[in-house]
Amino acid sequence: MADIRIPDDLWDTAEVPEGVVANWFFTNGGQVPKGATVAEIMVEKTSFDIESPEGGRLKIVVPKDGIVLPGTVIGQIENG
Amino acid sequence: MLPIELADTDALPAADQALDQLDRTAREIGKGDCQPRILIWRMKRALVVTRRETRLPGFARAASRMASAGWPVSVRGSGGNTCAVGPGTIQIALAFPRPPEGVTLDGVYDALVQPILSAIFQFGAEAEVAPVPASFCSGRYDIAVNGRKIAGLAQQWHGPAGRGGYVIAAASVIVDEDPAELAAAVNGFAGLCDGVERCSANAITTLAREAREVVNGTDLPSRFSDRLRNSATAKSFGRLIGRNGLLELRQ
Repeated sequence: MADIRIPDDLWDTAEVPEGVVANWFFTNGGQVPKGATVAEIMVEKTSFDIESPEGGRLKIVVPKDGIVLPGTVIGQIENG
Repeated sequence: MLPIELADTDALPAADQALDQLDRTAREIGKGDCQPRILIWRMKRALVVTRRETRLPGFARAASRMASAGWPVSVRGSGGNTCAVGPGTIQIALAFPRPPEGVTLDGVYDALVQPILSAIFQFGAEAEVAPVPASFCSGRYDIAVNGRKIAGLAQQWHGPAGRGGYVIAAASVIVDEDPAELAAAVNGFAGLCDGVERCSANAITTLAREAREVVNGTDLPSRFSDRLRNSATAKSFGRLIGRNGLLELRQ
């Protein structure tokens, strides 16, 4: 199992306290290929595309519109 | 590869065409197939929405209705909310490989803001970075003149650093449009699509209104883009794209 994690240094929380999950591009439980853009995080007016670290079945941890911070695990990829 | 290149109003690309080309160029930059660059262009009238908004209830029907009303809807990769553009708005985008570390959102915004402020100032208008909440697509990096929004900025960070990732920092400057028409288009869309933010025409201004320099006989958007091109030098963005970055400017 691999975590889909927002990079720790993606933004400075002193400047922008938090972001939101703007989109999931795959459904919960769906199969995703390695490297696919699985989610979009919105911070202020900046969108960050989040890629899947592995191929496998997507488990969404933070739903659309959920609040996130750098380092937050927003989902997991289950292999096999 | 030739960046977006425009000649006159009749030749303006549709927003879909221009944004597709911007994305293609950014992907090539991310892969290292071409150098970082600045693009300056105009495009036909459109409502430019975010990917998030395409998933709102009623989006497809609202987009169809707005297209029939002369406001086709195009989707951009950057953040924010619905933005109205037309031949009297100037688009500027900086595209570069996603940096490994040490470059922040605010650092990118600050770099893009400066040439826009400088170009506006050259027409005698005093612009500042200040949010204008009642305008469309409002954010911390709105550019305002006399408390009204004249430009807005947004970014898209795609993919990992060093493995094809890229950043697009983009701005739309309202040079010569009717704020009431822009606001009516955004509000018309908002009325059809639950979740799109409404705006006030009184919160929007244009360079044509605010310029103190008398501009006769020349297309104001063309003159503005010329000055923007002169202001957006490699020095403005050197910290982001490195000294060897090639900056290409096209109107």
